[in-house]
Amino acid sequence: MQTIANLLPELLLCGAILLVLVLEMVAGKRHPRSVTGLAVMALLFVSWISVRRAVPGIDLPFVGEMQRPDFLTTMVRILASIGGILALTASTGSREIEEYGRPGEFAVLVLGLVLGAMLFASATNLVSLYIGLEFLSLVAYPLSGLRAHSKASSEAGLKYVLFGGVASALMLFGMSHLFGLTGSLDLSVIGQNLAKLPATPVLCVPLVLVGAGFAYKLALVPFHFWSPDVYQGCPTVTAGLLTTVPKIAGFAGLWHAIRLVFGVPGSHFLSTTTMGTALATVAVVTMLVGALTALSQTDAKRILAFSSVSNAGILLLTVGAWDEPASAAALYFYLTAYLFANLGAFLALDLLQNDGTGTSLSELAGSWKRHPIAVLALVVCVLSLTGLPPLAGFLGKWNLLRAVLDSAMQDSGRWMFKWASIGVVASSVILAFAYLRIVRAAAVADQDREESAGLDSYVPSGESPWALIVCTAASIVLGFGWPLIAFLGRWFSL
Amino acid sequence: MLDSLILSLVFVAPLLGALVLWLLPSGWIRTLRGVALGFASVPLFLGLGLFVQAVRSGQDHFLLRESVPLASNLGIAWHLGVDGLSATLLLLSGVVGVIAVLASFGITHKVRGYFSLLLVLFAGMNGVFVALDMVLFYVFWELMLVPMFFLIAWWGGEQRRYASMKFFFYTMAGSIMLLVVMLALHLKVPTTGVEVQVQRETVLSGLSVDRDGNAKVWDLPVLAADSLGHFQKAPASQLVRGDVKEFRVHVPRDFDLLHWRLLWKHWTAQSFLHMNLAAFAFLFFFLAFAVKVPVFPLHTWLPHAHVQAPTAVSVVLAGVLLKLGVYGFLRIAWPLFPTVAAAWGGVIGILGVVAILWAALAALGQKDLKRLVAYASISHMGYCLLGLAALTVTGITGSLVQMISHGIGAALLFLLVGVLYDRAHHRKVEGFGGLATTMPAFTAVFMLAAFSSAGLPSLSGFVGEVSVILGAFQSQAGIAAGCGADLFRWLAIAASLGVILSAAYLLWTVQRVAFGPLRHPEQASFPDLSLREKFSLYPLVALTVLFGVWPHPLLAALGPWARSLSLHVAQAIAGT
Amino acid sequence: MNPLLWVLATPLAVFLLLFAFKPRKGGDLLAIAGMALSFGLSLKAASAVLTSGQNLSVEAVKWLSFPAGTGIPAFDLSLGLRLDPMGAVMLLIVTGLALCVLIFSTWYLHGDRFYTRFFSHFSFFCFAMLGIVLSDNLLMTFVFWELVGVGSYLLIGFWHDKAAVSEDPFYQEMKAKDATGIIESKLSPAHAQLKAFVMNRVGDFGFLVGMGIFLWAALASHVTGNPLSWENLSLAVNTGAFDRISFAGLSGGTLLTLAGIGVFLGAMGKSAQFPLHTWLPDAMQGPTTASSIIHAATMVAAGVFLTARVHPLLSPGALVFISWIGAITAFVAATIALVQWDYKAVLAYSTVSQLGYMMIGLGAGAGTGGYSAGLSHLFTHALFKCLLFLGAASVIHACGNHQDMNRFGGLLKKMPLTAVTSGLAVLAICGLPFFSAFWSKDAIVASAFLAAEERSGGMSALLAWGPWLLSVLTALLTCFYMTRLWTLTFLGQERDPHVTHHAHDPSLPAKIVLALLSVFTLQFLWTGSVNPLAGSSWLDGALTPGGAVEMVAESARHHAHVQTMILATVLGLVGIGSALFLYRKGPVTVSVKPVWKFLANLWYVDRLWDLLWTEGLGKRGGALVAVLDLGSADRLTKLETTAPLSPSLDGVVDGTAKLAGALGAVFGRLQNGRIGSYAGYATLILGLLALLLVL
Repeated sequence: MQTIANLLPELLLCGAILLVLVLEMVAGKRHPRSVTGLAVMALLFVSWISVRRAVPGIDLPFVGEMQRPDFLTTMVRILASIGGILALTASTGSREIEEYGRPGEFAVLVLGLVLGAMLFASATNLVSLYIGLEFLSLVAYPLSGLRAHSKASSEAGLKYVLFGGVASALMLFGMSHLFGLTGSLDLSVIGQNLAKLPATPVLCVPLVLVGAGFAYKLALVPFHFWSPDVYQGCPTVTAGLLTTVPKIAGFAGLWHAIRLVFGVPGSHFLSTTTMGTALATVAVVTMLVGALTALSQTDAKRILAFSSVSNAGILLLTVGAWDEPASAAALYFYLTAYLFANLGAFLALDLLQNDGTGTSLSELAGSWKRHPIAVLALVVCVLSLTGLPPLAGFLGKWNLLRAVLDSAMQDSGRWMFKWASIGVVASSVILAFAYLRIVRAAAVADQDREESAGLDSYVPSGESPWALIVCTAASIVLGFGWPLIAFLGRWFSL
Repeated sequence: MLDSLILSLVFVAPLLGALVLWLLPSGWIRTLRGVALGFASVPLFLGLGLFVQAVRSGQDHFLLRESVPLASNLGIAWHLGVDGLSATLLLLSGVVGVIAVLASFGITHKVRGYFSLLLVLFAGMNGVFVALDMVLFYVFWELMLVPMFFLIAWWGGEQRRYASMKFFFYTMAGSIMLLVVMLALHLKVPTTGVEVQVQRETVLSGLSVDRDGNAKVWDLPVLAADSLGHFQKAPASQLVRGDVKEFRVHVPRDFDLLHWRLLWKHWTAQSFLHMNLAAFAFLFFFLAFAVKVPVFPLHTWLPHAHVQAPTAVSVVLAGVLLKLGVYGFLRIAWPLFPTVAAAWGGVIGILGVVAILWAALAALGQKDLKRLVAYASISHMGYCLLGLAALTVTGITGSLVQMISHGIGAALLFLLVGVLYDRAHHRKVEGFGGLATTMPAFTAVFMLAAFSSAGLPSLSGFVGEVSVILGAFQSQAGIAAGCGADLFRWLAIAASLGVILSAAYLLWTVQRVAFGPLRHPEQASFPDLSLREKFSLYPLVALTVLFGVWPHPLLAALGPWARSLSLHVAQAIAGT
Repeated sequence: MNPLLWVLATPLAVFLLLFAFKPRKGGDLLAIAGMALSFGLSLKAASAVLTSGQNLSVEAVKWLSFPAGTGIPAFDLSLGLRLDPMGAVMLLIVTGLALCVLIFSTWYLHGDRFYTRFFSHFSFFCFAMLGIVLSDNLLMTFVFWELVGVGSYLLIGFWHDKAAVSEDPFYQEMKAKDATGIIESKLSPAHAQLKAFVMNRVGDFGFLVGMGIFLWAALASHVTGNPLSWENLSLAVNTGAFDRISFAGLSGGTLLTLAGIGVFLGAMGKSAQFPLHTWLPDAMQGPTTASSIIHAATMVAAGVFLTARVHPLLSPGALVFISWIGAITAFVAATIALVQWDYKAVLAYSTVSQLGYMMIGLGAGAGTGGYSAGLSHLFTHALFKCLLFLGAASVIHACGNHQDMNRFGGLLKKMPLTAVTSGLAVLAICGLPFFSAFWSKDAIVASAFLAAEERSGGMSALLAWGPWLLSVLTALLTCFYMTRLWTLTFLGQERDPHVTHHAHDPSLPAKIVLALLSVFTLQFLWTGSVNPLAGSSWLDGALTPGGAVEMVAESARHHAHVQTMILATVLGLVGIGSALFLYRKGPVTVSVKPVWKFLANLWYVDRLWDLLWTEGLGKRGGALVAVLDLGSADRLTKLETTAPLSPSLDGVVDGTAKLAGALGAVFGRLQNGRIGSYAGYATLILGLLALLLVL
């Protein structure tokens, strides 16, 4: 009973979802705001609870051999809830969501996404892992297809479904292999049994297959193809949510899985070093491909999409770096910075979009004349993504590189990570150029054609800008977040 | 605490100013200008005070320095300090800053944004000059990027977007490698720190005494072997007596640039990415700073940036930003990796000379006044590089003086081009002619500026150039660089050719613009210098003449600094 | 307070006052008063120095001081004044002539637009020259050296808004009848001043290099005090500093020769030695009075003066080089002067030629008496050349600013004083007995003879005797073209009444100046004895070379002297006679066409420099580099849109960016939006991965 209490936030969230559903049925039509409000309240409460019940350290008792809510999970809970709150707040002012007309459903879906994130983040068992993943995906599909009447949106949803289907099929296939090989669903047991097995390359196949599942969720090369199309298609707010929350959860899940499977001492099968090298390679390829592709994009959302691919690659390094507390701290500080910056950028785009323009660079041109403040926010968030001091992104990147290089220098076997750090820098430069094209379009370029006349100016509701303001402010404040890094490092190492 | 407060002022004041500007209504243009001027002049006064102190002391020690731990577990400290070099450069940036603000009074649209960005830019510049912690340094370094980008992109010429993108991308590509390098250096120090041997001179250069009379170098206790051969804290008295030659210092793992200075030998022993760590780090530091200087062939962003930037921004760019590159060499690249710097001295010197000649020839071929001046800048910064590579006291002093005088001279020239542009709304050389009759005062200043940057004695341009050339003649750096002792003498001879070329392109320009019959009748109505223009031009003229006739202040402030660097490198070479 | 300081400071003060306040009137008086004060003080100082033989000096002040480095002592390139006998005479000549010219200018430039400006610029010019005379070290000399350059720049470009002469019809007409005499005046003043400064910079390049090597050597031998002071330099050289350093495999004497030639290159620039002489004739664009001071006492004298100053440092090799340069210059200029029709041009080339003589003298070395001969020629020449130019000024002024001798003639009656004084100057420059050059120029020829005898042992006869031969030839030519000048201008009958009909002598003060100067064309004023063959002079104190030199035997010198004098006088008479005979009736062209053309085109030296500067660097070279750096102008206009990649440094940068973009586009193309292909890629890559693992 004590252990189940460790899942209190998840349980509360389930309750909240039901409540919201009921409220949606009762008062969804008349007081749409109240529904969203309730959802926000719930998330606030949940995050408060998770903070209250936060326990330092990474090693905690299992919950029914399924979940293992450690400090990592706590971070995911908090960040995911924050993401949800911001998205919900922003949705109230988002034209796309308003046009969809059923704020309740949107709220429910967002809550679901957060819940899925939490479950996935603490999964330590093939089953719970799979459930978490599918939960996350199943909620994400409708979210991306939200704009039912928009072809792009429904296409996005469909692509998402199909690709997700393929991915989860691969993953399931791999999992069955693993079960067959080790006779257990529990990751730690799997790890111990694998360690006993004689080393044959064939053993990699199931691992690669399971990895594919993660790769799909985290949009790592070569499973990233879906992401740009999907993000471009789905509502901007949702895109913001989908580029952040699943990553936040996914890395936690991956983190657990890898530590449990490979963390076995004396494993003569797959050493952490070779695993690290493999991950680093994938990471470098991902970050470079993502960055380079971003260069050639002409749509702000697509640029951000590819940048999120590239960022996933950068983040993957920390997982492979294996220097637990420091890497974990680096990972989650980066994710925090990334959450605000990336979500902020999307929210700003959504705000600019509201008066009927698209997100293509040419359409963004001259928007600083119409929404100076929104553009300012966009610039700040994008620069934070670029990693310029004194913004959050810089601190995140700096700290991440620090952790990665540190682990690389402790173990000569991790030479790959040194090169990876160069890769990080290279991709950052390339990305910087891509980001700069957004800034240039939104903040510098003049309107090519005088279109603002044709635009019906859409007045966003009172609350929605606050989400953006919070994101921007956080992107600035976190730039001075040295203490937070220190705190995370301490708590992860306890 | 006081020291760091005073020093913080040099960049806090401009930042504060930017904040205040944002709070003011955008309509109050006069107020905005006044506020900007006020906040921009704070660093000027600080810089002036510090410079005077530096001249008085005539030594290379820090006038003010304080290190406050910021995130101790990450090894980052709020470490600021000012020595002769920083003080001089602070003065320069203060002067140029104020003059840039004055020169910007002509700006009429988006005034508030303009001035606040300008102030943020100043904050970055001044911050770099006082930062002694690598992370701080990097933060300030990158802080300059965004304001500069927007200043060019919003208030620039017709191709401002291209130029601003190029500037941003080029500079960032140059500097972001520093992220990896600084971390590599940091992490190559074991968590427990390392114990290094240091020379007595090194200790004396950073000597301070703690409560119970023990010596400290850069706040680190100095250890000396006692009778039993155990290393104990060394009392300062013993140091001053000088009976012990070898000392040890236990350097912790941090980002302190002064501590890193003690570790130069440690770096050379490490390796990173199959490369010697020192070489690796020096390479990337060099590249990062070379882009800013700019060193041939990484200079092509500069002409674009200058041509597109508004006058005042060009003034700041040429007057201070280019100096930051050289400052980086002086503060980081050379002191931290003396042996590498010496070993690559040949290549660096050659690059400097190529820049001198190449850019001078390019300047001969320019049709746009601003681009011409931009190339002149590149050519003149070449002297800084040559003097630095020569590693003689004369050469280094020369390159330091050259920095200052070029800062003044280039600012002057860009202001003058601005004066013409405000009247004619173009910058084509052949678009002018015979202005001397209509604008005598302008012509006088123009000639003076031209002569100064052509290295005419009794104007500031000469001191730097001649010192660099003379210093190169005395230089033995060619040996350490493995290119033979003669290399730098040949380079000196080649650099002297620049004297001919600079006279040619500058005076030719003066002739085409100012002399001969008035070529464009409509220009007969051009008014001569306005009062505001005089206010921004004459101080620079005064400085040019002052430092040309009486260079003693500069030499007194910079000479000792150059000496300590030269000796540091020499010891390092001898030590290996 | 020390007089030297005042001598130097007064002209500067005058300049600053006039520059700062730009008074409507009274500027001229201020300048004259200042110069008079300066002259008076220099008289005081000079007499003290010349009588006592002791140097006057003002202790040095720190200027460029550098702390000690590794292997290099701390040193201070200080600024100090020092007046020795040689300097004393130079000082007198500079201030004295400056005073004369200033007074003359009040008449000559009366009513000019920039009247006052002339006096301020002029004062600055004299200040710079005095700085060179008084400086006690090489660097300070270089400093004022450059300032002299600026002064000449300001004076040559005095009428800065004047167009090039080539644009006026009169010039075209002259060209049509092949009056190539005014070929060089095609430049506008603005262009001429630029040319003068840049050409001088070419020389200064050498100066800088030489100075660098000297400083290096001096520091290597750890001298105390200013390593570049005259004493320390000769000390360093005598203590074998150059054996301690080596450069480009050279050391000792050879390196010293190199350094010496380097410094001499500077002198070549200022003193208009071949091939750097081309700026001087163009400098005619300035007011004639400015030319008179430039040609007499300040600008061009500086080079000779410097060469004399560094004479103790010069190695025999360097001396040979110097005498050859001098000889070539003297001869080339003289031949060009033969065919000039422009009054001032003839004088200009005669100056160049005479400067060549001085260099021959200095190059002949101290032992042969060449050093003193060269210097004394510098002094005598200063006076009669100043006189000639002031004469030219009054002629040109009288003839409505025409300078073409074709249109003069018969001016003797109209302006007798000018004619006579100029005549005396002509006789002086011809070096006839009882005239000043008879003493100085012939001494040069004699010393060249002795030097040749000395050297003929060490090197080929031609190399040794060349300078002497050329100097003798030049003596003949000099007499010819100077007489031609005077005859064409003052004798015969009026050829062009429009030009000359209301010609008249200048106003009284100007007349006095002319008369005063003409006195100095007489030899006995210099030698102090009526006997033309008197070897000694009251100037001897000023003419003794620094450092210990063993003189050639007295008898040999006397011998050489006498025979040269006879030779020179005979040649002189021949030259004068032939010129008088040829031109008695007016201008005639006696020459083989190609030779004439060659000379009229100034030996094509100007053309070559033009090719280098205007055509080569100015038009092509710069443009080429500019394109190689940033790309074609076409590209620069299209940057904002789609700049075509052009082969340039900047193009390479953009190229790399484009390359990255292209690479991205490739990945972008994979992104074709088809879910099937996506799955395809994924499985494909996975398969490859599995394959890799299995193998």
